[in-house]
Amino acid sequence: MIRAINKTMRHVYYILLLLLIGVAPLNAQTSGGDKPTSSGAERVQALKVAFITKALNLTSDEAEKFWPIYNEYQDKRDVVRKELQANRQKVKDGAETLSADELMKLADQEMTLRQQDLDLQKEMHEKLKKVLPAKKLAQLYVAEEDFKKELLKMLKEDNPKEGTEPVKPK
Amino acid sequence: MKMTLQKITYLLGFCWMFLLPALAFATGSDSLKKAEKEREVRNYIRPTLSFSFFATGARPIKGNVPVLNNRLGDYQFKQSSLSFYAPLYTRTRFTGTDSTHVNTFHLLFTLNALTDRPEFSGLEKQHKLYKVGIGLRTIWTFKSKFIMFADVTPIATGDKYDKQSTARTRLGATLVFNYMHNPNFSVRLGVTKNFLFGNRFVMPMVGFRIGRLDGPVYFQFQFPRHTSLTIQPSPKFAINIYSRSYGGLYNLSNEDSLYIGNDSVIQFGHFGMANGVRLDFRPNPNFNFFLSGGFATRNYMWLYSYSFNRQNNNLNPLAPFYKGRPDGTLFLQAGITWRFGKAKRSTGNYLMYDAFDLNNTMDPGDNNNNPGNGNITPEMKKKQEMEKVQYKDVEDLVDEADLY
Repeated sequence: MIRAINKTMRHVYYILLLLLIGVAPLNAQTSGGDKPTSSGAERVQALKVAFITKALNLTSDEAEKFWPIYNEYQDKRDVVRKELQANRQKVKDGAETLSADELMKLADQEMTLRQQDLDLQKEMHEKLKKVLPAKKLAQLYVAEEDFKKELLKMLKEDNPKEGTEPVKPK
Repeated sequence: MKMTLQKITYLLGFCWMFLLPALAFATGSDSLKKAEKEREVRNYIRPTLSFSFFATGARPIKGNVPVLNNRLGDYQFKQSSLSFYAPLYTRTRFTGTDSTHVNTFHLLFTLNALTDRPEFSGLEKQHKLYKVGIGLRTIWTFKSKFIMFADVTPIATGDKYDKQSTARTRLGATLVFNYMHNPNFSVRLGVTKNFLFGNRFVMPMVGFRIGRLDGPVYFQFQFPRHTSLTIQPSPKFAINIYSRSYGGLYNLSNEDSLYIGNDSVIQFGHFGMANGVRLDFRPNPNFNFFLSGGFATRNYMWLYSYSFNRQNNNLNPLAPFYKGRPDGTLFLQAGITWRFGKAKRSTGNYLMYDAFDLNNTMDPGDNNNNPGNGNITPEMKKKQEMEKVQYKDVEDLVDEADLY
């Protein structure tokens, strides 16, 4: 029995080693655009944490409770945002080919998803009320907006071509 | 038959290497892909595969049996280890009277395959020791302050010199309670049954950390594993000055009659402290590489036999018939860790950082080869760190109104 396990496991060792070498290029390709695993997205996340922590002047106790709740809702909102993007892509791709009914359904779906996003924000707000004092909670939403503006400013300064991309009409 | 199986394994491996990137291109075309219902990522811990190699220099042994000292000659130790862990199940819940504690439960699968090669210049045929372990571990983070960690790993070990008679199973287990007082300070208490000290021991685990895990400097004392000072001058580099224990206990074939008796199998245990500097390079969240070197001190090696142990009242831990003290020597270690798949956000979540650190400290297989805390996002405050951020990284955040 033990011999059989050992024999099998020896092969597992080789397979894992080959996996390590083999899947590396695949990972490099697929993770480039994935928010949680790309270097750029990680930098943005880390910078956002630093920015909001500083803006809100969070104490250790507040930060310990605030970030897990905030991250949890950002993850949930990511799902809704991705569905929104997919929905918009469908509209883009099918503007000329889809029927009026189908396009109306997509437009309705846009509203449903926006509402879902707002519901999540409200749910998060209710939870954060119990963790942060009123002043800091109010400042959070201002800090989020300021962070976006700061990011855009940085992108424009450091990489003018990329930074101006959003204003280009498509 | 054996060779055919090996060839098939390698062939499959190489096919995998070339086929998967092709598959990625084949299925990655956004414009043709039908939009599917998005699913929320459930795991915080990404599947992680790591490989490390460790080798000491050759040096003489001073032991308590002069005949064996001469017989064994100089001693050099080499180890290569491949380990893997992946989440099987993750649950996140809001708890507490005001529903503000985010409790998480993680069930992980662990796998480790390791070869230890104690090389004795005096022996004609060298022993190749191996160890494979498949385990389960649970990590439970609760009430924003606490972590309970449990790991159980059945291990199969043996000596390739004589696989039939040396194969043996063992069980490694660890239970640790972690309390994070604040992001700058946490303590750990637990118990571990391991073979790291060259014998079978049930040992207490005591540890503390000073400094934030994502900060520029932190210090850790984690008995019986390591003491270390980590300096993170930039998000991509970390310097670690450390002292860590390494070792193991294996069945050894007695074909070369190291023990004069009827035992066909004896046991080999070894232990040492690796004191050195480790440089970690983390080019992106998916990889980290490390190179480490230093001086191995407090080196011991023991040879045990069950019949000798029986003559000594069945001692537990085992009583050695030979105790050797190899001289101190230089060592070199290198490793690569690859994390893949998606994970939930954990930036700024210090309890989760502690859970990541605990999970990395207790590496699969209990070999004390830490794959590194590459899954902890280092603190970034400087504007220049934004240089390589592209528009696609922030497009979700941008709103029309932001542009006015």
